[in-house]
Amino acid sequence: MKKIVLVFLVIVIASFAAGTVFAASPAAQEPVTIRYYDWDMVDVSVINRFMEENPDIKIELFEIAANSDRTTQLDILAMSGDIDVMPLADGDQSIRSEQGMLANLDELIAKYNIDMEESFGIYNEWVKSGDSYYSIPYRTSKTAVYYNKRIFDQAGVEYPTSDWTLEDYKAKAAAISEWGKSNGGVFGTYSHTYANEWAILPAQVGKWYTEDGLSNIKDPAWVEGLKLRKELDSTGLQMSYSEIKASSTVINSSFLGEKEGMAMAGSWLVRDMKKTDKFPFDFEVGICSLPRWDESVEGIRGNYSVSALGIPETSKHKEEAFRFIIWLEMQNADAIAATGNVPCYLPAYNDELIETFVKGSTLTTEQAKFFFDTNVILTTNKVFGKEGASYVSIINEEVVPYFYDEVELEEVLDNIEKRVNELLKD
Amino acid sequence: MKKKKRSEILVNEERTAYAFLLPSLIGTLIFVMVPIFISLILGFTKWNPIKGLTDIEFVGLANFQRMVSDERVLTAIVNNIKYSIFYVPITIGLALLLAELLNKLVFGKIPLRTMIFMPYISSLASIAVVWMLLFYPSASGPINSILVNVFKIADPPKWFTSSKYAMTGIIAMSVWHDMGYYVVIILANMQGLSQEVYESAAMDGANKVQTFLKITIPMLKNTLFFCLTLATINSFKVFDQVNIITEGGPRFATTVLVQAIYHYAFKEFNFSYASAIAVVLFIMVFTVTYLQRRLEKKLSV
Repeated sequence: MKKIVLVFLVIVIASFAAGTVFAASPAAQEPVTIRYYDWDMVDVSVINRFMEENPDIKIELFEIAANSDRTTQLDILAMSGDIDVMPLADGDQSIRSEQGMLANLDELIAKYNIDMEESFGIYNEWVKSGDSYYSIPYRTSKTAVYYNKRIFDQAGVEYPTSDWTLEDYKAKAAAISEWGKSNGGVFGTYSHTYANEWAILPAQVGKWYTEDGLSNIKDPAWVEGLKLRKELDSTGLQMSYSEIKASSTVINSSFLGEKEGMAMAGSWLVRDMKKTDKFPFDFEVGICSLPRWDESVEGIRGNYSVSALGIPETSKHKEEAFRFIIWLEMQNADAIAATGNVPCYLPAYNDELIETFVKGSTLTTEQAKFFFDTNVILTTNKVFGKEGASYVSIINEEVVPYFYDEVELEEVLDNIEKRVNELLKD
Repeated sequence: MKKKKRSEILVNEERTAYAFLLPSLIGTLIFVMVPIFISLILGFTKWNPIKGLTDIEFVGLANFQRMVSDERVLTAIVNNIKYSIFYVPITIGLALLLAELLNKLVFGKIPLRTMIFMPYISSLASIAVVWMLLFYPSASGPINSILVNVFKIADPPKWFTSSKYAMTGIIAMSVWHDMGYYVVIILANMQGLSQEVYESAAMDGANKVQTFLKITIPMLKNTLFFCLTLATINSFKVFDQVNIITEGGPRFATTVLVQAIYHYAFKEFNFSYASAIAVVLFIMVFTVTYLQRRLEKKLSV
């Protein structure tokens, strides 16, 4: 009897174990699903290649519209745990890491031996909070002055050179506007209404915080920067702030539609120059570094911002998401460049990459070198530091009535200083 | 015996009615009452949604106290009241007049009614873009060129880019967009009014204006109160057109309460404070609606 019971038990245990093994086998092979949302996708073949090389990870791609509500949509997805790889732009990363929305990536960076300094250099400023990393730099947008060579030629204005100053910029804009008066109302230049767009040039010398850590909005650089925007608007050298807002004008269609001779825009304009079905144009485009704010500023100047890929704290597959991000960024810089975006992964910068970047845009490799030149001195119009995102948001709310000619500059500066300082002291 | 059978039938009918009502009652409970209750609770807390329910901290009336000195919220309350004061009577007044005109028409009633109703079923986003162009701020804008050339106004308003006129533009657009909906409701009720009363009035020598004021409006009283209530609630919920056209600006010139809620919830991730503002909005709407109902009852007596 005992024998029978023993044999029975052995059979039960053996079949249970076998069942477990058989049941476990398919589960082990079941790939982890990573949901990746973005508004500017690399070619889907890149994602397929990743899945072939990493059969344990399945990537689900979701394209979202590149409108102003995208961040809200992404935030809701992140809060509900429905996204594993989250794109972040224009300094969104700092407010999201402050709010605890993004996972701290320090351990994963150490585990996979990623040399952040060597890989991403200056771009790291955008993804750190304190000494910790909360996202990985992905694409960078570098502001340049794009100019329409045909308009310059017809107006008899010389092309800008990298040593030009703000005065040169204004003089060229004035000459083109003057010519434009009898040529379809072409403006000299264009500056958009994005938050802090007016601060691109004064950012070469301005500081956002005082030594005490309070608002430094009354820094002469910012004051002059605000006055400059107003001056260019009121003298008719560019489309005014209120007209851009009211007509929902955007840089790409305006500049490529020959409404102005110059436009200050990010490197993303190269991406749109490739979309000739959407933005057709038949003139030669020139690219120049930003004019120097004043004679005291040296070197070739650029303005930049960084888009990053982060992992929400709610993601259940952080490590798999990290593996995907690193693979995408460090092994596919060419695929990112092919979309007309400048990748952040510095070791990939070479002539071949620049060639891929300009392909289909009418620009030459030589022209586009500016966007990849690590010797260009970069500053940013965005605010880093305590409550940076709110600081920008307050500035944006307060400066609009000034650009609409409704309030005096002093009142605007007082309001910004008061509101930001209340926030900083809180 | 017969009585007992009848009451059994009634009870059965009642049960059937409840059975049919149950799914929508459950839906209302889950999707309306529970979120309102949660919102009310959140208004008294400090909560980071990323950290889950474990991170909720009870802060008493702190969120409500903050509102007292919050320029965005205070301006939003004033703007909401301003918007309601103009939007509700203008919309219902024009809808009533248009319904009366349509009711009197013999030909073209259906196409005209469709035309008037059309803006209501059109997307607010696309309408907003059209209105932004209509109200283009320079003298070359369609509306402004009429003001300059016909009315000889040298310095026309800058509409959506002016703190002074932006709200006027938004109210005008909202009235145009929503009016058709109320026209349809009022017209349907107007067509159901007894013709005998009108015939008697005509025999008594009442003119058209007297008939409209003394017969049509009193007989449409319940419908008009319904429309007023609906328009008032909608006026406090205004958001889409403001967000698309002005984003609440210039500065806070067109900021309304729903937009303030949106700002704090999704731009600053302060869901607790946003919930507290939502509670204030709920109280405002509830109070106005309650007062309207009281007035309706008083006038009925």
